Amino acid sequence: MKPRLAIILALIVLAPLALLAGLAVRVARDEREVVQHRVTELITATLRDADGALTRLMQKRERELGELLENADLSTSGLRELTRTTRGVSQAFLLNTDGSLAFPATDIPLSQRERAFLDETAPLWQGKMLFRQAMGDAFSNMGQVQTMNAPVQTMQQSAAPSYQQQAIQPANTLSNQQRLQQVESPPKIALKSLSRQTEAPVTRGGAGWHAWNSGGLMRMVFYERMPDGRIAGVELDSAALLSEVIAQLPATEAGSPNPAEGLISLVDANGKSLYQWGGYRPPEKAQSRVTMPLSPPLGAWRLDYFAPDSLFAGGGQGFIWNMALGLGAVALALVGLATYFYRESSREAREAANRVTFVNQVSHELKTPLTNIRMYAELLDTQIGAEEEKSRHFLGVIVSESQRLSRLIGNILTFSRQQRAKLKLNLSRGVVDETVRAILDHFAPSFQQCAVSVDFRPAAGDEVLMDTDVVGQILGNLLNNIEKYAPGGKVTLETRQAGSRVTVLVADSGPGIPRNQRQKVFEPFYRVSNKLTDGVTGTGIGLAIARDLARLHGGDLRLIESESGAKFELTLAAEPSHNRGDA
Amino acid sequence: MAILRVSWLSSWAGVAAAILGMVVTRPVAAGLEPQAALKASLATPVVLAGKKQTVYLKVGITGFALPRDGKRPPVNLAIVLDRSGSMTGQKLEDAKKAAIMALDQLDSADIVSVVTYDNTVNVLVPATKMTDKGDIVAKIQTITAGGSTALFAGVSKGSEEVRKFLNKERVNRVILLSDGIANVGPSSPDDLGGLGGSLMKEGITVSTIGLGLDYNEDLMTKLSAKAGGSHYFAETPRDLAKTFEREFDRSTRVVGQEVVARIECAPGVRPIRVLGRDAEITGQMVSVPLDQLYSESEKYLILEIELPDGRDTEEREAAKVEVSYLNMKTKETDRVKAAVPVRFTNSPADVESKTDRDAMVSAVEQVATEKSQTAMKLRDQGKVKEARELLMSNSGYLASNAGKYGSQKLVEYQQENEKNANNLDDANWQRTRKSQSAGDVWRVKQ
Repeated sequence: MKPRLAIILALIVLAPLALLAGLAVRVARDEREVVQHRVTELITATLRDADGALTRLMQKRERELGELLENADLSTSGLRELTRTTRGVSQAFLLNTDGSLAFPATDIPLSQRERAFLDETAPLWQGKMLFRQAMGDAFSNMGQVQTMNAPVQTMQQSAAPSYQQQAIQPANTLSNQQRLQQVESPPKIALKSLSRQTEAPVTRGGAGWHAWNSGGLMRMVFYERMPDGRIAGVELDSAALLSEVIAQLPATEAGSPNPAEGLISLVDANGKSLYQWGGYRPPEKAQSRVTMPLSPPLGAWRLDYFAPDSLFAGGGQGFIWNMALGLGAVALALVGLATYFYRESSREAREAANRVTFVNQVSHELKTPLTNIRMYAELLDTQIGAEEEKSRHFLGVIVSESQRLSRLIGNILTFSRQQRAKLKLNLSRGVVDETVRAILDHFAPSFQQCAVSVDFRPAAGDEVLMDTDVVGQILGNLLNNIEKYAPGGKVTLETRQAGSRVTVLVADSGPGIPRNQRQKVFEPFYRVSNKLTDGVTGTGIGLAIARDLARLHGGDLRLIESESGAKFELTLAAEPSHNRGDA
Repeated sequence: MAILRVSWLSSWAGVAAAILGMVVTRPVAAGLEPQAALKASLATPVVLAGKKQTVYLKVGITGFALPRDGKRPPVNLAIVLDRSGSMTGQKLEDAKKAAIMALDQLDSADIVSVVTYDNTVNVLVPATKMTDKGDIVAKIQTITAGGSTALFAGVSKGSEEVRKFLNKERVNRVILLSDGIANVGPSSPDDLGGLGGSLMKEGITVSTIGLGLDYNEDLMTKLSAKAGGSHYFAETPRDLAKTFEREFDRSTRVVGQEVVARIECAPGVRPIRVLGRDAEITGQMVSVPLDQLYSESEKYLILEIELPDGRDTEEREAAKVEVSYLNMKTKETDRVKAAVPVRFTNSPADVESKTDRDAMVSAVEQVATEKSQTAMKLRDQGKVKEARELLMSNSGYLASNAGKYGSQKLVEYQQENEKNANNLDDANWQRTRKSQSAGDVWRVKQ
């Protein structure tokens, strides 16, 4: 009983838990995916915003510089003045129609700055690279130009084919609209490994940017072809450009750092961080989650997004924790419930055992005085004169009632022994018919009282080995029921004997037992409820004990079909007693 | 000690301005509106005849006094505070206190912003009129320290705040306080110098305050020098209050901006170099940005030129000088001009007696500053002995000229030089170097 209870209780606890845990894991995984997707989208949008801001900045600068150059006084003093006064410009220059430098050129006195500019930008003028680029045929040579010094637009090489396609269009035939589309088409986002396709350099009717890497800083020139064929341009001040870019990018929210903001880093071609914003402080050598190169002309730079794992874990650890907490709570509740049931049931079992013990003891206590009462009443019966009819009748009542009480107590004791699995057969020689007859004798007074006539057809006269008490108890219980529930009728007893098999049929002419309750009548404490049984006292264990005893005796007690009333068939395994035959 | 002498500057400049009557070209629309006073002369206006020689030309311009009614040009300041990990504790507390105290010098016409940086930048107080000081103070109080030093980004964001109200009629300035070495983003002196130069072009000046002994003085001095601002060395957090006060005071005493001196050398006269300052020399033309002009203070430049030989008693014009600046009082660009004459003589005594003491003292100061910077480079290379020898000889040079021209300023400089010469050992070098850097910048930029 106990291990089974334990298993059931464990199941009650574990099954829903396992189910819930499975569900939780699934939900968590789905949630994680959804959150990851959402976060990545959000990050991408953030990076794209930043890139968009910078694209607009460069467009603005392009417009400003274009207008500046178109309206500039292209004389030496004019260009010097332009260099001196234009914000973010470190040096203006001018190319002749043949691509040679008109300013700054070594044929006039140059300031130190101008000489330095010439030295530092020498590769631009050698082979007239910038000039060819500006004249439109530079597209075919673009790779070379871009890889001058350290390559900055490194992505272009990997995307060479698409680049070639773009390159077929001469720059100066691009309409304004086309140009804008090129610039504004959102950069394709690559999660780590993917690299972005490259767009053609931003151009403006023979105008454009050229960028290269020098001494850790990106240097950029903007050039424009003048109507007279000369090309005017300016070099941007690297520090000023970066400062402007930084000014365009968001700052970090003031207040205590919030890792959920992540950290976005603007990184140059050498992988060096130029500017960072966001409340997260990634550990050293942290891998960026999302990387996006900036749109041209700042394509040498990229944006790296760093974020704590928790941001991607989806409601992240918090979510899983909540799940675990919920599961824990359910588990606790279930365990509590199981414990409660277990304790309840074991308490009940204990109480029942106590009760059985108590009843057992009380029954024993009752048995001794009752036996005395019966014995003395029977003794008295033998000594009383035949003339004292009334007293004899009273004595008869006393005897039969005390016999009834004995049976009752016998049943109780049998039941309590059965509960403690202590029932044992006590075999002795006997004849079934004699036992039946003795029982009938016992019942004679009470049958007489309730007008039950007895028809006994004995056919089991051989001596066998049996427990007379047990057989008597079974029959007693059956007859007791007849006395109670089928008064004023007829009871038929029939015995048969075949080898070691003895059968006793007991049929009454009472109301019988409804078909649907035929099995239940053998269950302990079950009493058929109808107008017949109501108001009649009983313990409800009689038939149960009778059947258990019959089974103990190697047979069975069954309710069998009959035309009227109830008919019980008692079978017993009773080895014929050879002793008698031998004797 | 830590705060560099500003006091001698104004007092001496006042005296100098008073003495120089004759060569000063007075404004065209004489008199009512205040104007800066220009003095341009050779240190040796009379030179020996018969040989080529190099001489020093001093161009000095002195800001007019601000009216006593306290009306001054409004300022547009961005306070950029380093809040990296090294600022933790007393440094940050004192810096906050100093910044808050300095705000008292501003009034509701002024604009202020507060930017802090570590790895990243917070725009703590976006550019706003100084009307709700309590709010600004409350925000400054919340600053906490931790992280690295994104100095370039901090200055960029600070200047962006200034840019929001950028106006030539205001004094547009970024004041940077840092105690460390920039380590996020561009961090070389050249990078920061480039940033300073580009801000200067926009009309934004940057002043820097180096706190403690661990900051990169080359970076900080270069940034402020290129951006036309001042540099201060505050050795301990206690010095910060005074430093901030000085810088705020200076910011509120600007009377001229976009000051540019242009010197056209006469034919035959060859411009060689400008001592200390960045200059653009193309042919006969020399253009030198002088940044800002402060009330009752002189700014000057020393140009080394080569004179052709001349005959005895010959007089000629060596150069024409024009200084243009935006007058903060009249909101107009003023141009003051002067011609620089030179006379040739055969009498050394004449040369001696006609020497312009003031110009000569300034030239000596610049020459000595160059030597002092060379000594610093030697010490950087670990050549302690050579550095000390150079500083001692510099000290001797200063002492003899101080005596010759009766200059208290040179005496002070000589003493400082001597002191530095004796503090080149490892224990004192960081302090000496910072103090000397700051002093040199002062002398060059005034």
